[in-house]
Amino acid sequence: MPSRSSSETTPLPRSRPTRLAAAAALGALLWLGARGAGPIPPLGPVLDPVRGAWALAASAGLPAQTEARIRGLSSDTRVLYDDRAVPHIFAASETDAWRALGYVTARDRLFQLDLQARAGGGTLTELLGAQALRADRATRALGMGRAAERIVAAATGDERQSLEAYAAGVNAYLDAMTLRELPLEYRLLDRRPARWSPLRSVQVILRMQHTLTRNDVDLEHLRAAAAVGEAAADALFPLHSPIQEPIQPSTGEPRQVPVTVPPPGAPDSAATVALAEVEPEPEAEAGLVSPLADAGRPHRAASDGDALGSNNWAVAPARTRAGAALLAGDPHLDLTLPSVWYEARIQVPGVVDAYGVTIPGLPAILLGFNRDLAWSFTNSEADLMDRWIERVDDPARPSRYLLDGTWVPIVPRLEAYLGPGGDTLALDTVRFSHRGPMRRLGARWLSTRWTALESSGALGAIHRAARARSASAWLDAMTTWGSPPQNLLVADRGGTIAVRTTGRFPIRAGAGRGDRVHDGTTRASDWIGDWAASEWPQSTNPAQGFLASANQEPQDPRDQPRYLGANWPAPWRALRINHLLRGDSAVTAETMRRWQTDPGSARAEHYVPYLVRAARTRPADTTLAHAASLLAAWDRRYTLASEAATLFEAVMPEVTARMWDELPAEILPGTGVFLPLLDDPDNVWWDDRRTRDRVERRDDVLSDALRAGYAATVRAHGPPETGGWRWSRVHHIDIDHVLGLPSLSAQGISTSGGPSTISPSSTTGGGEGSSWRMVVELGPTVRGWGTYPGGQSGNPASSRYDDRLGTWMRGELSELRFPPTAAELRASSVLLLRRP
Amino acid sequence: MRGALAVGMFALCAAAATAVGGWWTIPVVAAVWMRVLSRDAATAAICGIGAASGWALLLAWDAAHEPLDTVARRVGGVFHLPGWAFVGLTLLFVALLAATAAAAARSGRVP
Repeated sequence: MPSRSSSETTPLPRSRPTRLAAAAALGALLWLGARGAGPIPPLGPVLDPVRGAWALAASAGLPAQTEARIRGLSSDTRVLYDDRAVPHIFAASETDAWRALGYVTARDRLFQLDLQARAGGGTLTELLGAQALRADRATRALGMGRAAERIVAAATGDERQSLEAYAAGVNAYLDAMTLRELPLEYRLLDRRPARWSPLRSVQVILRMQHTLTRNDVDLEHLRAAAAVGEAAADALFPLHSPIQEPIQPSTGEPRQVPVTVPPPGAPDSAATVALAEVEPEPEAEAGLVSPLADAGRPHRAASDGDALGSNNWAVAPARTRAGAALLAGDPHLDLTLPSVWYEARIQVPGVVDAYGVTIPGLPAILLGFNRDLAWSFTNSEADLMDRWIERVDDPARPSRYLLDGTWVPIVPRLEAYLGPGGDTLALDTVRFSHRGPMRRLGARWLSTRWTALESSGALGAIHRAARARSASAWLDAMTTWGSPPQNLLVADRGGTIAVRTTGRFPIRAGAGRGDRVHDGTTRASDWIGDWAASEWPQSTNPAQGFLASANQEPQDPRDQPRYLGANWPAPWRALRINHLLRGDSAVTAETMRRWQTDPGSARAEHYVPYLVRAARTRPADTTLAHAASLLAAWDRRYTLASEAATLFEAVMPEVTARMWDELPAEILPGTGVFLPLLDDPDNVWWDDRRTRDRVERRDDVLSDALRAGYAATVRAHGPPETGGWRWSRVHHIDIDHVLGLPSLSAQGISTSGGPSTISPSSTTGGGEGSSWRMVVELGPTVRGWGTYPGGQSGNPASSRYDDRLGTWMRGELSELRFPPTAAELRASSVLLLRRP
Repeated sequence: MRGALAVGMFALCAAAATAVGGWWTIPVVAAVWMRVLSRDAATAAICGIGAASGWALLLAWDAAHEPLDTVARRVGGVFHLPGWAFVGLTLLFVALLAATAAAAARSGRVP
């Protein structure tokens, strides 16, 4: 055996296979680190303790003092953050203020900004990849891509300046942002934020309009007529609410409208033919599902009617304890983390000093107050979208449509959907008639006209309104607010309270109804104008001393019969709010706060007596008697301890299933339609067609439903004496992160309230609710209180990510800091914005 | 003793390299360490433990004045991991990165 000298090289044991295995493992780790695998994001940029997700902790808090530069500032602008992390912007001009707002919003909510704009512009695929393709296609098929470009091109003056200033502010932050500050979501998706522009702000506006104003009332009516005939469909989807408690005070008390619901008839032959031709393909409907929490959800579906909505109300000085007007507002939207709202204040000496909430992406304080007045909105629920069946030259590839005997060219627009790498994922041609975007549904082409696509002027209006010194000046400024139409409520220090349903409301030709699909072959079926401002539902300083809106039909049809919409949400919340307002002539801000989470239910008040009486018709049924006794003893309040609320919410779907068995499953009339039927016990609608040997009457159906609801509740939660029926154990709200990531969401939140209460929510698993609560007292000094479910920061590492959840859950409000000068504000952080 | 010293030295190098260049510098440092400073069979292990120690140092430094527990809980949740496991994943990732780079860089023959 040869001896080895120290100078010789020696093969190490298992050297080559070990190195090969190590190299392979290293390659896999590098791949995982740089590219990720499947659902696993690139691990390197996430796990890196200096620049990765861990670095989010470093930007979780606001620095005590910091400085940044923004191009275009006319002078230095100071941003002082108060103890609730609300930025108070002290600027020399409004455009400087919008620059600063863009900067601070991007600092706190960058990913949300980007995502909202992409949802509104149909460019989610560039961030999320092919999984978002169907949502983007649905958005662009509605014409939102073209509309955003047109709206931004038409923006002038103050509106244009504010959009450009805001974009400059966002982009200044993007330029200054370090890798350590990159929001978590971008790291998980391995993407980078896109630069901001006025177009992207308009896309955010359109996205909100999509949420608030899209409706299918014409298609709902068509489907109902095809199933049960025209007369019955008219009654099930009525033009006017069966209970009148309008926004514009009328008789002073709620009024039940006498309605006869005709029996289900033979399917309407014309509707059946039309329906067969326009029935959306399942894929088209599925395409409306967006990765965002509420994008694409068909608005005001009948089943959602009792869980969604918004409230505002104001009380005149004569009915308040302090002798000063009070205003409360709580818009309800799908709740997300980060919240849809961002709280901010802007002060420009001698011009504006406004505090409130903005939607990230918009240069405006949308809901809030200034030194003299306060305002809040609720959605008008008017019908702003109509459809026309068009006759085209070639159903497969139409290039012309027939109009008054002439073939008119269709305007095509190529829509390209890009992937994250800039690759083209798909191409669509969206076609436009003179009315709007066209879409193939079944064998037909329908064109859609929607006021949202033609909207402009809203930003300019809200800017002017924020400068107003009185309620009347505020309403004057808001006259140019076009879309989305809102029930605007305002109160001022002079004691004036006023409400006006404001926006662009189209006037239809012929019978004037928008709940029908129109004939597209003639211009005679086109919209013929808009309501004049003087015709809008409105009231100033009514004798009753208070005003309230909760998405209900704004005017009693006896006062204004013209078509504004159909299938209005039942006014359950309005009934409850007005009941509370009528019963208190010494209202305080604290009372207003308490009412915002009042758990009482006008809906339960209406239905429970009928259920209890029906149970008495079967005295031998002990289970039924027990269920009825639980309901009879219920105070009709959805408190956390309530057990009867759980039973009632189990019973109502049983009633619905038995009641509307003549209708296709996707058609569900609003809960208000029940009312006339409850007083018509022999109406054939009560008959459950599934029981062929028996003809049910009202009390049979209500008794059966009560028994079935009781049994379902026992099955789900055990016998009532076990405590499992408590509303706190059954009723949960889920506030999901905007990407639906569970660890960044707040799920299973237990609160009082339920379907149709003032602070409404679904029975369980719903993600909707009061997205911002505000109370303002218009005394010698304006004082405001508010909160929303979430926090100012979009950084999950920040204590400000969800620090307001507890306050919101308890129904409490925080005092909003509004001192006249910066010196009086105890700032926790100061940001100085300077010119480069 | 020499092993502990080597781990400590590599930890400092790993922390510095991460601070300057980012996570991807770890395999580079480990490979250079193996090629230049040591070709001992235990070097891969030293690099792995050292890299994990270096990142642990960085995390500990931040944890003293920043809410790293919140990051661990929230971001760990995205990976369906509890907070402590997300810390473990971070350290395991860098340890494997360094150890495999060192092992792969090891020459077939030693002097």
